[in-house]
Amino acid sequence: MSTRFRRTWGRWLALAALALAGFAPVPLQAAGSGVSGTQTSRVPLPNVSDAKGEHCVMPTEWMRKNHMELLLHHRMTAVHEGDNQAADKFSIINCVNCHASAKDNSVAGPGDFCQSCHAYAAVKITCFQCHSSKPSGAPPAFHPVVPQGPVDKTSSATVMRYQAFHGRMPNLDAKLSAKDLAGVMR
Amino acid sequence: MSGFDTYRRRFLGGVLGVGATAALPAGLLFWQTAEGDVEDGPPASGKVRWGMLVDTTKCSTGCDACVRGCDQENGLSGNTSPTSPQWIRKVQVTNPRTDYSFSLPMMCQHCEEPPCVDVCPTGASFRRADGIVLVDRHLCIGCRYCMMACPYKARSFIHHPVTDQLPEVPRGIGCVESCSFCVQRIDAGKRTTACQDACNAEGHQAIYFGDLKDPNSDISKRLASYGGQEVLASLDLHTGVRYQGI
Repeated sequence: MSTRFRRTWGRWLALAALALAGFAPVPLQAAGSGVSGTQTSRVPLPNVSDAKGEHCVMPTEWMRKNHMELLLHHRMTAVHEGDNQAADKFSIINCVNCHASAKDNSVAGPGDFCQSCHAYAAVKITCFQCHSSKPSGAPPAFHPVVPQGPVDKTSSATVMRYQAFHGRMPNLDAKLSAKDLAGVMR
Repeated sequence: MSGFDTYRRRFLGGVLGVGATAALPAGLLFWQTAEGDVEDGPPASGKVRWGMLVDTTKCSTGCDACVRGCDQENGLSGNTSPTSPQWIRKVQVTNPRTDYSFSLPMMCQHCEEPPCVDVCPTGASFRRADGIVLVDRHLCIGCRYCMMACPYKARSFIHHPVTDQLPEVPRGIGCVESCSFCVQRIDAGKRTTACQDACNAEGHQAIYFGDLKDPNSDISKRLASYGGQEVLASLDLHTGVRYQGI
């Protein structure tokens, strides 16, 4: 390859880079810097701040790119091979447990963790037609501090969660201790 | 199965590779997370075959505790309209010649040779290594061939959108579903089903659940002592659910 040829190509590349830099959209820069909630573009930026604990089960950058691969793989191991979902850090149950918003205790409502980013990327999210978008009874093992909400003993959902978590029905006449309800209500 | 193994091996190689690179800057924690998953969980094994024995002489006419227990465990509505999913139905059987009448719960019989698996066009209907017949809802297209093929009418179709599912039991519109032997309990290490617990709580003790391949299990001993019949045994489906007193 001649020097002249390389120089010509180099000039074209430099021109192309300049053109790209000139047209680089503002929202991409904002999203890349991890700022959320600021309205710098026509579309609302994704809400990536809803998360409990100090870090994700894998590095955040890796998860942004590859979380769908994890979900695809673990749907095989969970459904066909019978891996224990409660003990599996990569199960969709644990995704929801950590990323459910304080606003509506969900990941799939408008502005919530999963839904807001998928709306931004224009990728339809169908997981929650079947999967629960609300946290389960068992909190992840590495997040010991779970805020405990008020106890609504009359809610059938509470009773079902209690039953699913403890394997028995709660005694509704007795006073339920905080220990009984750890992991059931939050 | 080999397809899954190949997929799993390729994927885990990728995860470990990424984990190794992440471990250098971010400390050992991520590495341990990725590695811990490889060893995690007792998978469904062909060394066991889950089965159920129903003693119809103890099953009480008019009692539907097992149905309610199932509904609660799996988040079903409990409606019994023709379009509502029902995983267990209580059936009253009467011999017209002798008027002998008894009641039994009818659910997915978890056949060894399941017709639903034979007819499924997408591979969604499958039999796990431990004998549990399930629907992979990721693959189900809702064609309902399996419902037509099942001689026990055990499967239901979800016609309406479902909300507030239980996290351990994902279920939604457009898929076929049926009794799963409480697979979420088994995978979590429990060894009873919700219908069995409900029946015992009512004091009937008509349902036994356990490993048919283990000669020392309660269900195997009962089958050895008292026998147990398959419904429609002439079809040679070798069901996992057996009945006494029919």
